[in-house]
Amino acid sequence: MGIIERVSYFITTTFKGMKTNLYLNVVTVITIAVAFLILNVFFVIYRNVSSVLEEWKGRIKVVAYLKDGLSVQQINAIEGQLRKNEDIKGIHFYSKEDALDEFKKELKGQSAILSGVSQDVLPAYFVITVKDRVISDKAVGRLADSLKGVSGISDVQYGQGVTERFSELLIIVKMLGIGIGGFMLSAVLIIVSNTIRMSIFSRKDEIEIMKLVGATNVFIELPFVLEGMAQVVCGTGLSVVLLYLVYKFFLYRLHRTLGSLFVNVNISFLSGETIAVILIAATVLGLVGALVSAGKFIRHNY
Amino acid sequence: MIQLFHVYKHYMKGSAALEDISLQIEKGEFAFITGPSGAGKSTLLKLMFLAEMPTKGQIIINGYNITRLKKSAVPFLRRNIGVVFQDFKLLYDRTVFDNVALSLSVLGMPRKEIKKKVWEMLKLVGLQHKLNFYPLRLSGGEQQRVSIARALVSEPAILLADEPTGNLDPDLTLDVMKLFEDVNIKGTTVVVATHDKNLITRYTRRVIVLEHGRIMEKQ
Repeated sequence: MGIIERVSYFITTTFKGMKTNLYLNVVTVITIAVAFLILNVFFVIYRNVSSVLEEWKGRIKVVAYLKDGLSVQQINAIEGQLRKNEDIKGIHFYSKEDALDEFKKELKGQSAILSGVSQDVLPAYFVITVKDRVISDKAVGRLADSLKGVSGISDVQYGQGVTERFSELLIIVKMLGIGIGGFMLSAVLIIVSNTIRMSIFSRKDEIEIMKLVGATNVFIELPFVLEGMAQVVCGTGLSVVLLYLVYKFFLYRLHRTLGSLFVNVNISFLSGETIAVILIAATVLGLVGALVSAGKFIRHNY
Repeated sequence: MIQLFHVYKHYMKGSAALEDISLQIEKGEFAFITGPSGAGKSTLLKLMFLAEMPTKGQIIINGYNITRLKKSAVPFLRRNIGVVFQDFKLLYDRTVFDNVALSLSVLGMPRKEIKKKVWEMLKLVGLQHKLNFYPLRLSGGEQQRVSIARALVSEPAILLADEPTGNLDPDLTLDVMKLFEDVNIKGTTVVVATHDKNLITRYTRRVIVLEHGRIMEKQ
């Protein structure tokens, strides 16, 4: 048998087998699709929460307000001291005038409110960006505390608690994902190996005769293994399609109800790489599930 | 061709199916294995086509010691052995052609060659005109001829038959036995397990008699 003939033999045998047990196969594919759909929802949530968190982390700034009446030399001295701090990436100084300008910018259109407000009202400050390794709430907190001790600095502020809560949320999503993922993957494994077991039983006469006439185990097993892989890949593919529909529908609803409020709401779908990884993992899962049954029920005797 | 040395086969709970069997069947021989039901005929045949392994003793088939054979080598040795059963063991959702072709497709033979060989084999057993029939449309004798065709199409060196005529009336029995004689003349070693005394008396061949798992006499 040439290679093409051989491949076509295995593929047709696989399809024939799936057709014979069509109902079982359809049920299996749908079950796998539902399992992976739940799992994929977690992937999407995780992806979005973590990207929000990344964005937050990038924005972490510590603001150190200065006491009034410091001389330029004193301010320079403070800046020099800050620059020595290894946790600090960048420093930008805003004088009292700058502070007022910034405030006006923030109130754009309504800056009239500030007319007559003297520049003395607002304190001068440093905006400090921190190095990537400091990006955890505790580390930023420690830095802020240490800055409070610097003479000339009156107050230090940063986004207290926000990043912490997001980090916690991310960990929860991750743990849930791992837990449910592990559960779903073992369920899929059991479903596939069970379906293949039933496939094998429904064709046990044929298997017996094939063995009798000298078929190798691999020759007998291959269509079943392909069947298992096909089931999982179809199920996973279906779950991605379903998820995409759910995702589109969700976005549509969100924009309709909250449209004007959340113009910038940007929820991303699974990345191409994630989908590829899911499909590859599914293929391996199908392979393993089918091999377990094949090993148990085809190889068990002579 | 087939050699057994002090072979024992015990199943669970200690009941012995075969006890101290030693025998030798030469290449090109035609031998009957006979004895009452439960004497161990089927078990002996099962050992010969590697469906089971002996509990003790050595079996050499076609030069290979099967007790030392790797599991992965079993299929390749089996390709030298054709087996025929009382209940035919045909696939009823496949045509006569597909049933016979199965023996060759597992060898990885090209489709074209399979077609030619199967047709020739079906002609030999007189069923070439029924190759697209499903087995249930055939008589018992015809079904048995399909199963013989399947056993012989890959030209095995050994043909084992377990009560091949058990379900057949006397006329059909003669047809089947005729086929066995034909392939034996062409050089195939044939071993037939049967409890049919008429068959044994009609054909003067070597007879191995089993009783309670032991060989009683050799004729």
